[in-house]
Amino acid sequence: MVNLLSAGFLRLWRSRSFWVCMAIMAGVGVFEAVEGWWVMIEFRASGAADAVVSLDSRYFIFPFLSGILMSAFCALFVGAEYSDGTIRNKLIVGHSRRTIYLSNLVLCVAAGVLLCLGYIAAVLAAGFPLLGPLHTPIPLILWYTLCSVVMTTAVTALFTMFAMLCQNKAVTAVTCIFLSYFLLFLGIYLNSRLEEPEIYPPYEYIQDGQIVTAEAQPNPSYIRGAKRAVYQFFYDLPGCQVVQLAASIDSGAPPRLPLCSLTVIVLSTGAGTALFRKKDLK
Amino acid sequence: MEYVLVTQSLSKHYKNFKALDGLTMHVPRGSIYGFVGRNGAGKTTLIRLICGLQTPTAGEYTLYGTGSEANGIASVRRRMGAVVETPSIYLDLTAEDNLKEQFRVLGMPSDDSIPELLKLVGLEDTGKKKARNFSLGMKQRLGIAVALAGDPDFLVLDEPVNGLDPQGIIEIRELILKLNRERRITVLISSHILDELAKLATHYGFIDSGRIVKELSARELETACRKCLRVQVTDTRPLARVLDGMGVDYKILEDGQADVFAQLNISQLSRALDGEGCELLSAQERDESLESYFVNLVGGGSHD
Repeated sequence: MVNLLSAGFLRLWRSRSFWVCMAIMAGVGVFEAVEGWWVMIEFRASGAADAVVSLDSRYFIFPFLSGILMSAFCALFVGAEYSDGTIRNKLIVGHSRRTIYLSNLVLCVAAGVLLCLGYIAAVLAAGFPLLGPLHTPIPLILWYTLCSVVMTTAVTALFTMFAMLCQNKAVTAVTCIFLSYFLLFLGIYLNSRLEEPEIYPPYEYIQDGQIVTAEAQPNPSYIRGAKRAVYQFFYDLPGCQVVQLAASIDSGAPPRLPLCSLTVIVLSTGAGTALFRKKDLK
Repeated sequence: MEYVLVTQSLSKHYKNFKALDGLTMHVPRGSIYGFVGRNGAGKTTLIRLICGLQTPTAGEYTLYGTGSEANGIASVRRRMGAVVETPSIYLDLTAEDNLKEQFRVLGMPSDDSIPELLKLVGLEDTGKKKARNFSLGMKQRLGIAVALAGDPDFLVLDEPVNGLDPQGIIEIRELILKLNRERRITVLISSHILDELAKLATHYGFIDSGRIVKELSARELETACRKCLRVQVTDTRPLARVLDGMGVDYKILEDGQADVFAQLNISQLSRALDGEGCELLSAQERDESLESYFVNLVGGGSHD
């Protein structure tokens, strides 16, 4: 395992796809800070002298990006082992399938964490001088960062599983990128459905010159019972939960989110290693 | 004889298709074992099995005496290197970086022997050139260098000269001979380019429909393919006396047949046999190449 990791990190360091992803993450980090500062300047120029764009709102964007980039990175980095045939070199010299799988998982997870850190470093480096310090309490920021990194690790584990089980790099890439977008849009959809109010509050309106008070009414679109539980289950899944994480910055993400991510990591790795052990390789 | 690889009734089935059907073969230590068969005969499947890429449906094989199901098979595999079908190299890395990768995979303590390895395969001047931009022959040689990274005793090459130009074929052939003679590396080489194989192999295994139909040494093959006169007589005992009297090499076959390994005057032979009360029924010149031997062995049926 140590030998495979040593070889893998050497390759990661020389991987063009890794550095392209890193450049995108860091570039978006800098862009977010500069764009926030530009918006603030425009607000102030239009008369809102106290207008502030907080660094916090720019900091919390990286989980949206890390999942999508990791889908492409895993497909390219792990897929190259099949397209170039180099996975055979590891098997032929006696490395077990389990260690090959786990070493690739560790490498992809390390790449995912580094990409997140790349964004954080860039947005803070550019944002501090332009937008000032973060206002959210440090424990909440650290908790959010931890939950986001664990979620990125969970989607990385899923993408690694696909990449290790499919010998066609193009199919892997399409599947992983599609899955990352699907989970993101599913999260947005589930958020809109689950945020529906259970009761429409009472409101007043004027009819024929008189104020009429409409009573509170139940929302027919509100999801209840088992259906709500199912929606909530999918909403908690890594990929989908990025929306939930963003919505709970001020209150702190519920602990079930990283727990759900950890469960996905364990299940996908268990299934992936079991299937990879039985796989016929060419 | 000591064997590096022995397979025992090895089978591999893909659903209803039998890629290997009870294959038994023996690769002697120090040999260049030519593994001959038509496309789809099961050559690559066997190589995939012994490299651990796939698991057999039935049967087993032993590598250096260690069974395929034994715990120690993984460590024994460290003694082998292989190029299966296409060279296994990272296309976006240089030749040197590819070897550095493999050295790390193997846990080699130092990269010092990389220049020597590159020189051995003739890639010492490739510099920063990425493997993607190599010719097919260069990729093949780099694949062999990667397979040699762990200093193996047993090298498995699957169709190593496929698609190479004549110069590339000569380079690979010379490299294989050098590895076998100078480093005493046992080589299992699969091919259907028989003329090329005939220049290398010390032993042969002929495979057809997932089974070994014949295993023999190059010397035995040479004897079998030797230019000879096949004669048919009414009695082989007087024939033996006559041929002994002439001092020529011969081999008595069944049914009054014999192969005579000499240029004979047929009239003289016929007269001599007549004097012994034996009739010469027929005489036919035979000159078999590896190709015709193979065709005779597996039949000239349609390819898969």
